[in-house]
Amino acid sequence: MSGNVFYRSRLLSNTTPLMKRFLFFNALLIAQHAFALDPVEPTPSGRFDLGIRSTTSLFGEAGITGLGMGGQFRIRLSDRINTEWFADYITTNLNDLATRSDYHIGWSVLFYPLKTTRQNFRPLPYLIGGHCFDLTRVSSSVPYLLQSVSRYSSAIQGGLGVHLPVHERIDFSVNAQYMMHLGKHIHTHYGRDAYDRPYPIIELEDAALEGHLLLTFSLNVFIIDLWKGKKG
Amino acid sequence: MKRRTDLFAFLCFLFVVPVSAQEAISRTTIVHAHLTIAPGLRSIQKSPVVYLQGALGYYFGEQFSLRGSGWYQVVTGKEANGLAYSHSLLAGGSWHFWPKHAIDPYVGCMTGLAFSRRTEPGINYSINPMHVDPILAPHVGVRFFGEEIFHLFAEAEYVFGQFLAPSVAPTSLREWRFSFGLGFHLRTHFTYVDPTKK
Repeated sequence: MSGNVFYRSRLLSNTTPLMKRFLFFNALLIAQHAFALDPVEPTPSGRFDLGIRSTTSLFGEAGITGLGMGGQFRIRLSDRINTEWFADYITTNLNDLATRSDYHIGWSVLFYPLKTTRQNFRPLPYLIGGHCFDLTRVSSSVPYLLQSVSRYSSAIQGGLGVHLPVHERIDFSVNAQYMMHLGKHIHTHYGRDAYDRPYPIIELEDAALEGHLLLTFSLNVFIIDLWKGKKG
Repeated sequence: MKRRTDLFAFLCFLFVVPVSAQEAISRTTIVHAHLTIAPGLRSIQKSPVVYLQGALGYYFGEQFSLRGSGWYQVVTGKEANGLAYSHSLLAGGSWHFWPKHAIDPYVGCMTGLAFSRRTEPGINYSINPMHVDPILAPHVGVRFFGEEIFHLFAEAEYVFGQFLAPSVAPTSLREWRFSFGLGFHLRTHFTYVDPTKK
C-alpha cells in the first residue's frame, strides 16, 4: 500500500511540464479512439444498435392510455432477421382513482420482408414478435385508501413496424404491437363509500387473456459490428 | 412608436448583420453543451417554475443530432394541489432544417423520467414521497453558431406526463419550458468545408 503511494507521488513529482502535456494529449487521443465508432458496413448482419424508446399503451383496461419510456438494444443476426432486447416502464392513470404501473423486460424478433441494407437509406418495414416478462402493480390514488395489488406474469407480443433512417448510423423506428399477458389479471372497478365518494376496488382475478396495444417510438444508434472480424 | 422602431432596428442589427456575413459551416461531429437558468409554466400551477437546465449533444450529421438534458427545479413549489418539485432527465434527437448554415432551426422529441413530489397540505411527506414517472417532451428551437466555440440558443419544450404515485391524487406534469442563453461547442473531427458550397 505504502509502496503504491510512494510510486504515485514519485511519478507525479518527477513528471516535467512537457511530459505532463504529452500524457494529457495521449489521454485525449485514447479518449478519441474510445469514442470513434465503427464504419457502417454494407452488410447489416452483426450490427449492435443501442436505443431509447417511448411506449404508449392503448386500449388497455377501459380503453385508457398510458405513457412509458425505456431502452433497448438490437443485435442483427442476418440481412433479414434482427433481434430487439428491451425494458419499459409504463404508467396509466385509471380514472384519477387508481394508477397502474407496468414494468416489461423482454425480447422480440424482427423479420424484414424486403431485402435491403441500411445504406439504401429507405424506410424498412418489418414484422415483429416476441416475449416478455412483466410486473404490473395497480395502486389506489385515493389518499385515505391504501391499497395496492401486484402480479408477475409473462406476455407475448406481435405486430408491425418500420425503421426510418435519419442518418447512416441512426434510425427512428415506429412499431405497433399487441401484447397479451399470460397470467392472473388485475381488475379495477369502482364503488362509492358512505359519503358518496368514488373509490377503486382492485382485485386479483384468475388467469385471463388480458391485452393491450403498444405503440413504440424509438431512436437507435449503430454502435459496433459484432462479427466484423469474421466477415474478413 | 419611435421606441418600437429603435427596438426593431436594434434587433435587425443583432440578427441580420451577422447572418449576412455568414460563411457555410459544417456542424457534423460537433459536440455541444450548455447550462442555463430556465423558466417553466405548468398547467396546474399559476406561478412559474425555475430550473437549472443543462444539455449535452452531438451532431451525427448536418441534419441530425442526439442529445441528453437534465432539469433541476431550484425553487420548491408551495402552491396547494401542485408539485413541490419535478426534476427530469431526458434523451432524444433533433432534426435540423438548414445544413451548413450558421443559423440552425430544429425540431425534435425527447423521452425521459420525471422525479416529482406533490405538495399535499395536511399530509405528511413520509407518505407523500418522490415518485418517478415517464415523460415525453417534443421541442422546437434555434441555435446561432456565430463564434468558433460559442453559440446562442433558444428553445421551447412541451412536457407530457402524469405524476401517478400510490395514495396521492394524480397530477398533470404538462408544462411549457423555455431555455435560452450561451452554449459552447467543440468539433471532434476536423474536416475541411468548402465555404463556397452550402
